[in-house]
Amino acid sequence: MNEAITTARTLLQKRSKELLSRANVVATGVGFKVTDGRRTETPSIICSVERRVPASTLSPKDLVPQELDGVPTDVIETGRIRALQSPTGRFRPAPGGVSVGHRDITAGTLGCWVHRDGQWMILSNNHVLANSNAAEIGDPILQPGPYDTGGYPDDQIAVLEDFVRINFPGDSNGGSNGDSGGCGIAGSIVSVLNGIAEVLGSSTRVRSYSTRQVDNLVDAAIARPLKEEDVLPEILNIGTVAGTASAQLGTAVKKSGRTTGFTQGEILQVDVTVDVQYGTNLVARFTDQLMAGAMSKGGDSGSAVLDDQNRLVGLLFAGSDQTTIINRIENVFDSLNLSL
Amino acid sequence: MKINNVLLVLALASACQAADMNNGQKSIKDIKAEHESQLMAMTGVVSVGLGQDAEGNPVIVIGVESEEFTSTLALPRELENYPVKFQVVGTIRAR
Repeated sequence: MNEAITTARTLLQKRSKELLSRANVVATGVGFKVTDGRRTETPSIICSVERRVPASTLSPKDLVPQELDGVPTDVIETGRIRALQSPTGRFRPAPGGVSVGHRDITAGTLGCWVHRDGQWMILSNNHVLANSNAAEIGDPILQPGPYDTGGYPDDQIAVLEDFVRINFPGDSNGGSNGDSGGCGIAGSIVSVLNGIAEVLGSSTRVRSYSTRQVDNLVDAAIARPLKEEDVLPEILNIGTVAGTASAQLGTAVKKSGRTTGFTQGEILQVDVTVDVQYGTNLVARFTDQLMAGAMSKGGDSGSAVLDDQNRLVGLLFAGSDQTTIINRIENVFDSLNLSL
Repeated sequence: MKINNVLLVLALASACQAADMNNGQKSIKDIKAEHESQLMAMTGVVSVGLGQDAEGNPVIVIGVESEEFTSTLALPRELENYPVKFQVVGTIRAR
């Protein structure tokens, strides 16, 4: 037996180049021949082909012979063999599920490709593409993100197109780029509430600092690719997105992210109101969120969340050791005027 | 301004009455909405959501930052007849 294997290996060393030159052959090796679906004890030279095709459609020079110098051959279909690329690598074209980030952040995840006004856009989080409100429209977006060695200008894939401002309470800047709009809205809510309190004769007046600014629904941003050919409208390890859906309690979900890759979970809570920490001292409150179990880590932010029919249901943006917090895709699409 | 406020309050009151007449009972979502600001204001509470118990019945889930808060906080066991469950969810951070 060992002798037969040695013979096959020695033969393959001499003939592999020639076998690989035949159309469709993508790999050669030594293994046990499979006959009628069962593994035999016969060592053989195995040619892996991208696709099995009828022998009649192949020219004689591309046919794998039944045997080579007395050693039997076998042909198996393996499809095209690709290197397993890490999601932190550089991808052109770039699918969803890979590293991306604004020039001034570390790295997050390119969720998926969506459309606005007929134009392809990268969908991810504000804190990934817009540096938690600090970015300016038109800023460079890198793939991979800076933490994954993405550099400007070589790895720039897109420009920041738009983002939904994250409202932080007690932050008179309404974030970090000097816009005070959020505070104004909070102020007017307080005055209306105080008006009601007055009419009702309440002794407790609502004070401004105890009323938060407008709660957040999404941590979302989009970026416009520099080149259409860099768009790969599928998600690494998931495939193409088959529409959108509204997640319910118990919906089985999956995502493909920069740090933990492909993971699965289940929607354990809906209608979640949650306080989320940004950096060391900012907290923003989000409402109408979905909560799943532990299916993400830092760097997975921005991942598209899909149900078991590959329908997009959410945008992952936060979590703890025990949980993952997800924006509802309905809210994301509404707030940025997006479609698939 | 005051007249507007009176009208607003009257409108809200009649809307509430209509809701009560329609359902006879407030939904778990309504109850959660009514209580969540108060719950979220408690130190250690980081989330309030709707989930299910082991039998699939709807429950209000209060997420606390760490185990210690489940004993130190005076958290309700139920809210207007809807069961309340506690869960340690840790510190939730943008990732």
